[in-house]
Amino acid sequence: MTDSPVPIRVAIVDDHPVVREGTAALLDGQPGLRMVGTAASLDEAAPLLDPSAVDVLLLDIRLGADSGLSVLRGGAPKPAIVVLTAYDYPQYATAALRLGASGFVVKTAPIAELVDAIRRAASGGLAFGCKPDLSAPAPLTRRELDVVRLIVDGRSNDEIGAELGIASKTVEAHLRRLFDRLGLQSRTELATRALREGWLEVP
Amino acid sequence: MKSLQRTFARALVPIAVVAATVMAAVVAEASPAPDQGLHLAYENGQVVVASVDYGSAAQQSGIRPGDVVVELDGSNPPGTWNDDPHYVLWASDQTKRDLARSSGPWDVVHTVSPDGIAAYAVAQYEWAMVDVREQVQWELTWMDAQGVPRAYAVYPGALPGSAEDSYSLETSVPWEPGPLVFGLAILIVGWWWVGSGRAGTALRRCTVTLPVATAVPLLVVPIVRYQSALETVVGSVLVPLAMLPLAIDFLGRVEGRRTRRLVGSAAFVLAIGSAAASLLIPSGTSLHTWGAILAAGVAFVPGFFAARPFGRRASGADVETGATPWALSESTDVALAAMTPGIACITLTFTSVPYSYTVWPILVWLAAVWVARRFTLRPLARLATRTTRQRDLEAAAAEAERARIAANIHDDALQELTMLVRRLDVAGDHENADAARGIAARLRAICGDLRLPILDDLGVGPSLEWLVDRLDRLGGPVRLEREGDECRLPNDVELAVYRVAQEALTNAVKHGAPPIVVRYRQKAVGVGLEVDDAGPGLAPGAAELAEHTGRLGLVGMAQRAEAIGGVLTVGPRPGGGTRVKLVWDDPRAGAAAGASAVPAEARAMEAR
Repeated sequence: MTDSPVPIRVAIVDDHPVVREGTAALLDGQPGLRMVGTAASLDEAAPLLDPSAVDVLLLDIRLGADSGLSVLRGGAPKPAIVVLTAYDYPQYATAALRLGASGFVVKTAPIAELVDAIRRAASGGLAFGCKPDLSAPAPLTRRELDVVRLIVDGRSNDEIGAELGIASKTVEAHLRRLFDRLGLQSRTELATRALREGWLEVP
Repeated sequence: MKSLQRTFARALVPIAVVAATVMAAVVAEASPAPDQGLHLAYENGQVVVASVDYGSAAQQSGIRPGDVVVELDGSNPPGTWNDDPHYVLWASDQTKRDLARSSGPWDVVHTVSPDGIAAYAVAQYEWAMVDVREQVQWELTWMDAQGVPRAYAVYPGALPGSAEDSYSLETSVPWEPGPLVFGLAILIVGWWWVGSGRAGTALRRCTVTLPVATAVPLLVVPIVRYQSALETVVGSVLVPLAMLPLAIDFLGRVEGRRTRRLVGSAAFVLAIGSAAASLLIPSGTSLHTWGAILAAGVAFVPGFFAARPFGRRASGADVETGATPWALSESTDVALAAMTPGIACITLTFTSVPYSYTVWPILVWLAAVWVARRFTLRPLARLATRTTRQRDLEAAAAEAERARIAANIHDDALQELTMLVRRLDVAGDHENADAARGIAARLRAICGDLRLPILDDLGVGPSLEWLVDRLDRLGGPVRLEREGDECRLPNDVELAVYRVAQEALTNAVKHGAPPIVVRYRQKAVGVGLEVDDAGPGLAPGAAELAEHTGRLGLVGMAQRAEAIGGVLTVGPRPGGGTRVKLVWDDPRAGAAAGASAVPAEARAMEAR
């Protein structure tokens, strides 16, 4: 147990009142955690996405007709997100990891596991109660890997083009194809995913 | 360029062709027959009537091709003619003269003045009886098809070369509402019928070209009936020329650039062939039969390809879908339209029969088409559309119901159970907590079967992973091969693809044998799904049987595919077993498909 002088600010988004309030009550009693907000829908959850107000956001996937995963897709800075769902499907865990969630906890897991995941997420780590399946990495060509490596370094298209000896237009085309193929929306997302899933470690 | 082509095809050429044809036909109809129109030939030791011109004096007096000449001016040809110095055999060249000399007791005269000949042979008949006497009139007796002897007066003045003779047999040809009038009627009524959409929306684009292609073969009949060189040239060119614009209209419906180019070339070659056949092959009919058949092909070949309701066709498949009732009905319309000009061309192949008879085939055909469309095809299409819509509504209602039940279990029972697990955990009752976890897992499985939440959140690919994992654990080895983009498809398409995969996999596990392989390929422009097993395969005719006995698996998959406009094929897998294949092409292909919150332009910006 870490004795952080400042308690971790936790918020929860779940459309089921009993679970939402019940979980909030359970967590509020944990040392070092402080519940700072609850929301029953994605609309209500908007203020909880401010990283300066919330450290860790517990997010349900099935929210009425909405999907909690859509919160993960936006590019804006967010609190660390722990997906909290009734479904222990590895496909959800994989998607959560790919989209940048810090943790994945099944609702029926013991409360200690959830608390542990929150603490790890708050300190920048990962906590997946259900193992994501990364056996099928995104297939990238050599050239695409080169481009991604330089994107991770924060280079611009012109710099990448100069480095690889190709036109910056070609770099742009590579990126556009990657975005389309992987359903990504920004260079940051691409870089994050490449690092998380270890694409660049492939020899 | 494109619009120019369209103008060319839609209006200019057909209108020009039809105007030229009508004018020429009216002139030809009004002009008198150039001769008595009788062509004799010598065949198997008999003098026979080779052909009789339309509307000619000979035709009016009832002579028909094939009639045998039994008496000429009281003499019996051919045997007795030998004794009569007035009759000689006339042949056009030395070879034929030699042949004639060897084949019968003929007195061959090498040069015969065309003046005064009683009967002549056109170049294609080898020889004919010729009367060299300066005789005003002689009598021809012949046997008709029933064997009844008939008599006919032949006036030499009616023959070519002596047209100036005043006593030529200019029997006035009684006017008949022949091909000219029926051709004009088809042109005008057809234009109205097709243009008003009564012939089906698929044919709207052929408003001008279809009536023209149908009417011109009738309209050229008066032009070509006397078989003069000029007339034959005009007629031979006009018919295929009238077919070409319709062929171009049909080409617009043919799928696939390669097929289109191939079919277009074929139509063009057929048109050239038709004109060549009519011009070069001598014939006793208005146009050569081959000319008419090839002209029919000019419209029919592109029409046939335009009528195909399926973009693709798998060989040996037992079940295939991909067409709505209206699309099928439109295909039938196009196919019928493609055959119509060909039927009109039949008129051109008749030999010397009274005018009105020659238009019967096309009139009967048009009447049959009208009746079939009015009383069978349209009502069937309406019925089938209604049934399909009702079926899709029922399927959608069932899906909605399952989703609702799944949501209820998830939102209510499962969440309460979750909290129960927490409370039991906190209370330290781990045994009961685990039991409750087990119940929760079973409830989740039920939810997953009713409506897999992964499908809504993550799309088809991850859902298939889940499904294959589950079956792999429960029912034996199942493998998934996935490739393509991680884009999202429209909701109804995702659900349909998943349900087809689910049904096909259930069948494969139940009836087939491992290895069971699911191949899924997803692109922004469409998806392809294949489910293979190595079992005994479908029994022949199982698919038809399924439709009747209600073995609903196959029928259900076909319905799902039809509802999204996909093509489902169920057939044998190469190497044994069964292959279920679903192909769906995004109708908005090209546009970035998927439920991405960020439009394609924004992504393009980010790529810069």
